Amino acid sequence: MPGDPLLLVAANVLELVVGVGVVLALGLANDLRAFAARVGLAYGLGLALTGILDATLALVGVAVGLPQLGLLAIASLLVGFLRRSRRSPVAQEALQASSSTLLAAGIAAITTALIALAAAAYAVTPLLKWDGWAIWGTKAQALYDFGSATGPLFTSPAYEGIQQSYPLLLPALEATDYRAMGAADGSVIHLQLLLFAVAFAGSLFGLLWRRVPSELTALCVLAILAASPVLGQLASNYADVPLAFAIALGVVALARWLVDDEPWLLGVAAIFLGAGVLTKNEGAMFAAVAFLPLLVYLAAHDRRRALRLLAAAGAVVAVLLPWRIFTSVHHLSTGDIHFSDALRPGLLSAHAGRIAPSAHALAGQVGVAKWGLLVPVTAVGVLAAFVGGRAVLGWFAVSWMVLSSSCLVLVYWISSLPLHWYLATSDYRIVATLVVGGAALTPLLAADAWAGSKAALRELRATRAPAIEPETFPA
Amino acid sequence: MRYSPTVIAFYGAHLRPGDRFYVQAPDNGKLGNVRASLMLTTGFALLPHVMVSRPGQADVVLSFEESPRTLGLRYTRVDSLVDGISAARVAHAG
Repeated sequence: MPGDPLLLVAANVLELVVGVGVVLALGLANDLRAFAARVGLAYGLGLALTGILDATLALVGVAVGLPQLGLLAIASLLVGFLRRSRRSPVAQEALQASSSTLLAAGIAAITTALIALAAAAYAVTPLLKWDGWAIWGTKAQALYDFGSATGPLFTSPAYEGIQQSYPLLLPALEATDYRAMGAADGSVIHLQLLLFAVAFAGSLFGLLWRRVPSELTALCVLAILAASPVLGQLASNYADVPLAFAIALGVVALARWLVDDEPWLLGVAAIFLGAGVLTKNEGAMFAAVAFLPLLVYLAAHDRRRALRLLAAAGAVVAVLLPWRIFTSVHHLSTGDIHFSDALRPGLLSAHAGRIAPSAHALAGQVGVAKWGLLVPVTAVGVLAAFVGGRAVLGWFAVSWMVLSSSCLVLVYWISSLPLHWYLATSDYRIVATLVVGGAALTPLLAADAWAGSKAALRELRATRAPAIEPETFPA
Repeated sequence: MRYSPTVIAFYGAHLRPGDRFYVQAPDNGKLGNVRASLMLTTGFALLPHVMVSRPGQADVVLSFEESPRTLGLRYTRVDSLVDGISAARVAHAG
């Protein structure tokens, strides 16, 4: 039965309202301009929070549809307005990066056109890719058909093939859309996937607003969404790109917290990283290697901040805990990868021949031919951080990317799956989080160098202009 | 894949509301074998019918390149699409 796309949009509007409540509660939208700049962040937070809630409630037999979303939106708004009236605007609002608004608006218009074009194709794309329907599509439809994850599909050995140990955020959100539409429409649901891209774009802008020149953020968002694997893979209904979006936003929030030390950023990081760990199993790996270098650094430099960071990491673990309890209670296979195998010298030695081909294959997947200029641009961003006096930020980005890459190689190293088959079916998409995360960090990494260059250029123009004018236009 | 949408439609047509089904197909234990692949396909396409892991738990046995007679169950009816592709309704005691 075909679903009405407008009802899917209605569900997303309610998710946006949930996020508006959060943004208000955090004191991030104290005037109309701030609200307009942060409405995208509100949408991303709303999607992440309702996704976490949907996936967790599904474990105890509670289905979320439009009425429940409506109640949640009202509750969130109430809390947001109450908290807003009691708190002063965050100190961070004093920050003001110099932005070329017109240029940023032009780039945003191109991005909007790209998304609108994609929407026309997404709305009529059937569930064609194998894992897209066999794993994620089956789970979403089962959550819609049965209302929860307590049935045999999520626990019986008959359904081992749908990777029961993969967490439920993506199918739970899709099931909510199906409930809103009153039909499990495998074509219209692609619009939800595209809306993840919209939420990512808006969230990155909202996260970096006032901290990074708007045109730089807008340019980076366009570069990410225009990289062909992003919208291409997103349309497959695989969870890799949604995972990449969630982790990237969490890592950017952590990076900004590192330099600005605003508490709201830590909360936002925990929400997005929490959504990431509930999207795919490797989300926990990407989140852990984001927290780890920061903890090491802050433990040595600022114990108080290290404790706050530990609390945020604890919140991410708490998000994952119900799912881990569920898989443990139902004795679900945890898949083919067990990180504890990394502590078995015998296995590591026996599998040593897998390291070089895995590293080679992964390196081949992040090249210009696949992801356009995202990786080179990230490298320039890292360099700009060091040049622009943001070495700590640069080191954080390098640490996260190096640790993430090493963990990806480790996954192939310790796995017992046939290597060539495993690489062929996963290497092109498992790098998505690494590439998108690195690119999303770039505006923050390069902000100070960018602002410095603009200021230097202005100064140069100002000093040259009076001398040139009389000669060019003689009286 | 050796099976077509026609096969899946045939299986679906032989399920009544609430029926649980068992998939019987060649399984060589290797990655992506016919049975594993057919289980994934029917698991998705035949929802909300639920697949079971043992033939004795099923209301209907869906067979592909195998005969339901080899499972040692009693059936009230066996329908075949072509030789080797059948849907067999299990005769439950009582």
